[in-house]
Amino acid sequence: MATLRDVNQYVEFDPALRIYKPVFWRRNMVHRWLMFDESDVPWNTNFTIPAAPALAPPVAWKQPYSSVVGLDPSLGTPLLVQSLVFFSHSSAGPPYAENTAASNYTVRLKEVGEARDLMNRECHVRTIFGTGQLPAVLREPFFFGSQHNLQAQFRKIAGAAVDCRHFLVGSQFYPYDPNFMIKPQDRHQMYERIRAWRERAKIITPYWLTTDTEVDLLANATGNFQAKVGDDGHFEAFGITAVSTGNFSLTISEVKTKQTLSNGAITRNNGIGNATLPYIFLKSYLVPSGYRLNFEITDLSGAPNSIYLTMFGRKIYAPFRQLEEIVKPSAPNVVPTMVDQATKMIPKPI
Amino acid sequence: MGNVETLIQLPGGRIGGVDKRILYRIPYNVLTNSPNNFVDIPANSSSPFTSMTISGEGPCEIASLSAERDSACLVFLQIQNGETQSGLMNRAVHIDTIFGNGQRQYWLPETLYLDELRTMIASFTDLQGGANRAALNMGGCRYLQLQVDPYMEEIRSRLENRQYMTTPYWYTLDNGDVTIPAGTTVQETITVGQRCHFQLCNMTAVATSMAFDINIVDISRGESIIDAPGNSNRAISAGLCIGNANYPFKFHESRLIQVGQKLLVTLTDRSGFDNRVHLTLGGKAIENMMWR
Repeated sequence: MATLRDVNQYVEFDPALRIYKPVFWRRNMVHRWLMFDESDVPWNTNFTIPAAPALAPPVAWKQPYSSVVGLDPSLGTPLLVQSLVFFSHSSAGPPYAENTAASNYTVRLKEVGEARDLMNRECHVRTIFGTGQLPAVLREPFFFGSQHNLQAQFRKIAGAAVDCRHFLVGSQFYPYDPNFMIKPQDRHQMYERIRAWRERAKIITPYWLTTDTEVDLLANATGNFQAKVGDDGHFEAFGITAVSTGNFSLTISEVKTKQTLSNGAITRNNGIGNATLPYIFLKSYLVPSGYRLNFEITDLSGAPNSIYLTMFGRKIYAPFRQLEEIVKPSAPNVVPTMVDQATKMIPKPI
Repeated sequence: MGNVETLIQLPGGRIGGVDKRILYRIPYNVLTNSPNNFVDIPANSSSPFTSMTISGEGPCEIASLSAERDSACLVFLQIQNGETQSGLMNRAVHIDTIFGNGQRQYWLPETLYLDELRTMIASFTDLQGGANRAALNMGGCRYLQLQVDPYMEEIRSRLENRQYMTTPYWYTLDNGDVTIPAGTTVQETITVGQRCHFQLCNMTAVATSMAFDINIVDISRGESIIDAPGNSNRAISAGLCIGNANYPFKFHESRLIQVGQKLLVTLTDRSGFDNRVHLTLGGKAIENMMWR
């Protein structure tokens, strides 16, 4: 028989007392919006991106080390970032005109402690960050450990200065709850979870891949632009987003194998989304380390067109292996789904 | 269907590496063949049939539809399997009822298998009275180099075999679209074909105004699809039960309509003006008998 525990992960049944009690390790994971650090941007104020073409000074999100001495084994209070949101408005005011939906600047993210770039080059902000209504969901959560910094550098593409706020949104672990002293199992669960994410973050990080050079096309012109996946790890793309001045068509191919991802040219309107509503691939696309993608882009707007393409996904710092080299599965590695039934009953076509 | 995980997971949550087989699988978009990625549609008439073909490098599993068009049109999709052609809909449907866009794709209730011998064919009919263009994009994934890997070949054969049992399918009214005179009620029918059952999964429409009421009754059973069998068989507002291709209305329980059955569709205008309605029921065609 189903119990409340089966449908709600925050409680568990105590058979001795016959009541539902909180699962303490889950209760100590809380939702968090993380804004730029106070040392870079005073609390409750905006960050100002100067007018084009000046580069804004670097700004960072920082994770403090907050703990109770002796109550956690140096795990800190890590944040598991699961989505990115932002808003921006004009610097001149009041009144300030909100222009999140039309914001026109780029961002480059870098994980400072591990010295890992999270993108090959600066990407347009509207291909990376979503809004409160439609957050840009990361396909791989970013494990943001205590005492780590994530640095952003913004650059306005055109026009006057703007103010912005960018938030990392996710789940924060608080492993030092005094309740854990009497709940060693819960403490163990939370520690294990943090350690697992910490280990995974050494091998996998979120990543965005954009063109290696800026894409500025003349009216009706066609150009080829490449994006190289670094030699340090493989890139797994889950979808594609773009921001552009006008409509365009696109053919993506892998340079070494010449394999294209379509039998023709998709357009911005029928095959590409943005950070809030991205075009999602049915299955992910793994580009091995050192490989290059070629983007053949043709302007369809009949006017000069500036295009910012971004593929979103994750970077994997692990070697290729054959499954059978490592484990000998007792059953085929086929995950049955609801559309998977009864196919064996059908004879094969002649 | 068959799945290939990117990461080789080891006990204890450790990661053993990246499975090489992931390189045999890529996302893929199938479009109308070049140079007709945009298909020209003459005013008030139909375009020629245009193929959507893939090469022999490996089969493709299609899961989503999106499109760009200059103005409203109807689309008719067929699948050509060797010498055999069969429609994926009873008549041409409004493009905005089954094709989303790059931001919001229309996810098929059932994936579609294509290979070099199994081709999609599309034709369009203009509705606006001017020169028109449309570009279709069918999104999915492709399996490459299958022959060298028995495991991947197994996935392919399961995908292919399934297509002989079920495909995505759409029904519109037997007479195509309907214009409801202002403030009045009309009755139309939808007849399920003799070859396949129809599993109804979602409902979409494009109309002059969504201010109309709708009731759909399975004639053979006398049951309303809209109001449930035991209830009073009342029509409800279209805005409550019909979406569009970007946001289709999905039934919580899909409904199987048997071969040859008829649905009676009752439409009542509430807008006060003549109301032209293009209604599309989306779902799966399920073979009535094994034909292979």
